[in-house]
Amino acid sequence: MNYTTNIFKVDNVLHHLKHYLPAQASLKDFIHHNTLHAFQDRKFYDALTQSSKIFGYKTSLSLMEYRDLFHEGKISESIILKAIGEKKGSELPEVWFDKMLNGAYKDTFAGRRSHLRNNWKDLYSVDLDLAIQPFLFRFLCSYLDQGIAIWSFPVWNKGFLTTIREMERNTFISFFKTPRAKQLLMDRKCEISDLLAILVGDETLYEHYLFDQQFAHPGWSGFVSVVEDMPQTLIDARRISLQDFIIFELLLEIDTLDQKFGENWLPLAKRIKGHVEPLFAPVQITEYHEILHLWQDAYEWTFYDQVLGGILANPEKENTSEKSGFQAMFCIDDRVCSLRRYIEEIEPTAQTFGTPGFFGVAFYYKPMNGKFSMKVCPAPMNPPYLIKEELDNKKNKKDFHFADYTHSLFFGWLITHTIGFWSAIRLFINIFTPRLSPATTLSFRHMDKHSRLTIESSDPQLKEDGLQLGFTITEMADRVEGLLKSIGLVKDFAPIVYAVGHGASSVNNTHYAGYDCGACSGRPGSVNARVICYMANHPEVRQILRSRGLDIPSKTMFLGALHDTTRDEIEFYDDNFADVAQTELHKHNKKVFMQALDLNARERARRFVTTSKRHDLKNLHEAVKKRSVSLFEPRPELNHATNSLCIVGRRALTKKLFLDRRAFLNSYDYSIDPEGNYLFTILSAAAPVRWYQSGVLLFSCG
Amino acid sequence: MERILELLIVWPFLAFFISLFLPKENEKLISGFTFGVVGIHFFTILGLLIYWISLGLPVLNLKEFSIYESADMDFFIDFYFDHVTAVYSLIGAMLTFLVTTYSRIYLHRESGYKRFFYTILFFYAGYTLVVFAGNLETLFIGWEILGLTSFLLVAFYRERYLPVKNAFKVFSIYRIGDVGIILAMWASHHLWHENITFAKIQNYELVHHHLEAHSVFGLFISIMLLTAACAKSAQFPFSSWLPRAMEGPTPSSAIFYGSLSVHLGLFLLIRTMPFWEHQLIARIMIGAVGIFTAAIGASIGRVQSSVKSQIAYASVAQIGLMFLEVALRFKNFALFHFAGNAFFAYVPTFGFSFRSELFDKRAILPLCSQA
Repeated sequence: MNYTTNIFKVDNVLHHLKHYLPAQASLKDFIHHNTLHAFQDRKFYDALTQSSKIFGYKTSLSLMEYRDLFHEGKISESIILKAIGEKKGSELPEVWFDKMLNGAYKDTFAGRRSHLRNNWKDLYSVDLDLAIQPFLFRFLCSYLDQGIAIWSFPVWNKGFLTTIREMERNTFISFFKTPRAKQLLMDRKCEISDLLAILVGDETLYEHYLFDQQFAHPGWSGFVSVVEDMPQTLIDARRISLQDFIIFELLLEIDTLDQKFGENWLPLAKRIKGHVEPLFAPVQITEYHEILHLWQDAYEWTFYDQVLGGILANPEKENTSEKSGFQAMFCIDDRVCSLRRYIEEIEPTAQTFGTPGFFGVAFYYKPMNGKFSMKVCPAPMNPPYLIKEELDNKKNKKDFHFADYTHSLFFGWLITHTIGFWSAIRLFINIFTPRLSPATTLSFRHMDKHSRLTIESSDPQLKEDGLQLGFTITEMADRVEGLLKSIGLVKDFAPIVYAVGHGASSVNNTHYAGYDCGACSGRPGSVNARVICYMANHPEVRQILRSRGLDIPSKTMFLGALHDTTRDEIEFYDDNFADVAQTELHKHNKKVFMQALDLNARERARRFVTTSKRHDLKNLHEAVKKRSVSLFEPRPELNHATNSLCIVGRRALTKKLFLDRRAFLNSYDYSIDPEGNYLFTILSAAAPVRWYQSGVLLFSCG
Repeated sequence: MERILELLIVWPFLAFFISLFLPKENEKLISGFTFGVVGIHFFTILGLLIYWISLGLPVLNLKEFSIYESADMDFFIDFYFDHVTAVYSLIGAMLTFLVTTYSRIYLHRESGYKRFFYTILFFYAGYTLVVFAGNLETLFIGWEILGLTSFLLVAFYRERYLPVKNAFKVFSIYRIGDVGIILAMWASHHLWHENITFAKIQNYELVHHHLEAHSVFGLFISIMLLTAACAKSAQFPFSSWLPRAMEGPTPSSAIFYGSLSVHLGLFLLIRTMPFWEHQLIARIMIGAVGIFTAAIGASIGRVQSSVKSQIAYASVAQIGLMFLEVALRFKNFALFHFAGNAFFAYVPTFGFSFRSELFDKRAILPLCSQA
């Protein structure tokens, strides 16, 4: 019995399904992902309304929340009226205003999804999700496991269903409790449409049913879908397809129903009375939605109004002509904006720039003793370069508690009698005074300060893992030129130009995966900072740049550094100057950085509920450092989730302006880019990534 | 010393009752109070132990008061203090002390903040009662308190479906253990015709005399005690509750499968050891349960794809080995093993914390780090 009629085409439906599922990959490389990507071709508010109505997503604040914000004074009345004027024309703004404040609406984000499949509960009194999901997820976890389990999954390289068949054939216990599901699996006749014929029985409802089923666990299904399309997102590859996954789930459903009713139960469609509203039927935009959109407009513009007001009132319109003490390039990240403000405040002659934290050098990085190369540039890029860390005697420290052999019977037995007691003492100390341990993920461990990097390519043909080892001189010059021109740093070079990447440290924070530099694929930016400085300091590179009209004085040195944004510490790389004056200067600048970091820590601490603000500056900074390594601090520092601005322009626009660590600041000087080429690159590559990033974190944290 | 011991037992109960009346909003007061109470308790025990050691490790038995007296039966509360009590109370106090410290910040702004702390205090009161108990009846009171508080702590996130479901699972299995103790008490009343204390069963002659006459009763009591111990220590066939108990917030799961609660089954066996150690069948059964659980726990643990379940099963397996050790009469060795395991399992438990809606980042860490 093979249904291949016109109504239900498996491939189309799977394609459709994959399009709508959230494309959540494993957290190996930073994920830039618009959770509403299936709706991104539509107008903003249409996309919000449709996705909410179809899938039940909460895509904006609720009406009550907006009204509360208004009463708290966070949405301004004059801007509401302006928003009404723009959307609804100038007639009767009071009517709309009154509706926004007092109108009675059903304040809900309920969607159509699951309406069809809920009938199992309503008409059959069976909760399929409850019966199936715990087993299904555990099984999927074991199948996709990347090495947590000590014994790996027995058969994993043959595809999901084949594996299940083979295990079913070779074990004493079955996945299924009733014979029919097992029969279907083993007969290899189980196409999705066959199984749906048993379960649903009406082809017009198949697609709706599959959406209901898969969106009952969108994260898992989306993950399966990503692994199917991009196996490289897992280090230890697994063969799986969404189709196999769905078939297995359908079989488990049949099994559960058989177990309850025997094999004599009617398919779903036969018992449903009335019409089921199609999932993708056109969505009506109601007055309630319009009201929400007006509120959102007004809320956003109230915020922008304050920012623009600040920029207008900002006294410093132009760069001062006096000579810079030092220049520093930072990531455009919102966490850096406060640090830049403090540096400029302490050292008024300092000049800071913002650029995506990979500093225009895209490559893979392989640390000493590393088993894999990792990407240290924006995730969508696939650079053909590799840079390796070289160091004599680098050892990775280990912690006994996190070694898997302690979970085995006899080692465990031995260890409990010995190290168990040491654990007690260490734990005791650690609970009272948290500090760094091998279990801490520390940004400075990404690259050893004393290591050498293979930056310069001796021979472009020399390859490792299919990647060119290092960059040639011309390639270096291109990158330095691109970087400096895009941020507008082409003249008046200071004696030292810093390139400060950023990273983060944590021991137990569940949000850590979002803490590192997004422009470096979610890794610390130390290698990139060091690499770009090496390139910019290279005499041959400078010669080429000079021939292209970019004259970097021979006295100017570029110096790489890493700023740890959770601990507010900084580490400088290759800071041995030949010149005494420069050494002195660097010493002075270091003090500026340290002072700025103390102040930055204090600014961050405002938002840490468990950090006492009564400390003096130094002790407060210590408290902030402790927070980063304390076991009992699972609360996130929201970072990107509060990001709301991206300003591309000269620093003079925003200098001294308090933007509350909510802005991405990308430096750009229109006067050296008459054709707008650099602006185009900044806006087309960097900016959308940033906006997605804040969007993703907003949706996941908010 | 006797007076201080009594105070040590009353202290957590008193603290629990006071904690019920603390204002809900004042987190500092609630956690500070609990921290102080458990801290004082811990240091008092520490001081007391030093004094006790200086006295030359005397075994103490305190008969407190009778609950019910009749011509031929006397139900009374009784306390007992020896080196087993010393080890269990010290470790219990230390770990509970750490949990209160840890949870102060960890649970900040959690809606059940106060509930968590007073439940911990009640749990601790029950634990203290169990380890100081001088007869089965007294022990049973503490045992019940532990059962109840375990249920409440596993179901701490009571608005979520799974924790509550798992809590019921824990509760049901604990009930089987309770029935075991009740039947053991009932049968021992028949055997001894009195409310026998742990101090009395140290007397080999007496035990031997009674068992000779009623060997079936003796075996029945031993099996019931073993059932209770298995349920509490997650031994076969009751192992499944332990990984489930993980659903609770970390500090409580740390108390459970890491350290305190699961080792109380072992405690029961060590306490009643003079009674069953001369019954070969009982010893074989205890050893068999232990070694079987150790083998099964270790195997299941190896295929778990979550580190928390691995730790849970590893812990089950270690306790299985302890059962084997006591069955072989290596009592002090098992005690030593308990202390090490309690601490060792406890540490990573914190590391792999799992709090309400947050997702466990450690599961994906090996992917991110190259080391």
